[in-house]
Amino acid sequence: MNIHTKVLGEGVVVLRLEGKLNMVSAPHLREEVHSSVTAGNTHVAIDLSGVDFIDSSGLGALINGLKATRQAGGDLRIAAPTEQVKMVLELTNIDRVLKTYGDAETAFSG
Amino acid sequence: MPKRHLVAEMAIYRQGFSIPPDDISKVHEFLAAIWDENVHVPSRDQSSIETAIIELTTNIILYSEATSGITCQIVIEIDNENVHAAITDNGDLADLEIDEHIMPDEFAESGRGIPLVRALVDEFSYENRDGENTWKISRKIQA
Repeated sequence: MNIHTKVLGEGVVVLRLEGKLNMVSAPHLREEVHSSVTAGNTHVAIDLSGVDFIDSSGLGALINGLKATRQAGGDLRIAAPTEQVKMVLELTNIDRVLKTYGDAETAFSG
Repeated sequence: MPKRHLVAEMAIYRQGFSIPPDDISKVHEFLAAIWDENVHVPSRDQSSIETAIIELTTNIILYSEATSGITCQIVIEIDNENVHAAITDNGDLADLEIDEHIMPDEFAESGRGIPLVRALVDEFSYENRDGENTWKISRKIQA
């Protein structure tokens, strides 16, 4: 999985993921979110439009990031999930704590 | 007049994996080729079965007690009504009770694998015999 990072300023960063978010790639996402928080970008928007598959390892990384950003006074938001990702978010009830936004770049500006 | 028995057409796919060097991406590749040949299976059913198989395979990799590499075999059977999958591995997890695994709360970072599999399929069973695990799942194809 590839992760493209785009700092929008004022503590907001967009992480655009491409590929499968599974046991192999989940640790990379975890590290990327922690690096962003350490750099002062505590508002992390994850663009999921390029993620065609997520499993429970990937969900664990999202929840880990959510907690890390909130502990630093920020938040983690997700945008544009594909069908498989939506299905997994719903079946695991994670849609209750991770609201979905249409566009990652505007997830914190609304 | 003798009764006519209609035998449903069934496609069977079988592949063995040795981990390492194989990893989870090999399982995705195996399944992608199957879906290419079975376009009658709706994408929601494909996604559900694929997610369940990846969860089970991940579980095998993470918790295997095999000491010299993991071997597993995945068999997929597809007919007009169901997709069945059986995964056999040498990991020896004899004490696993799949029914005791419930979906953890939203802020948990792990523990969703087995409950997610149960939510994705219509039938799910696990058996350990002589150090070998067999995981079976099946899902009805949505009309």
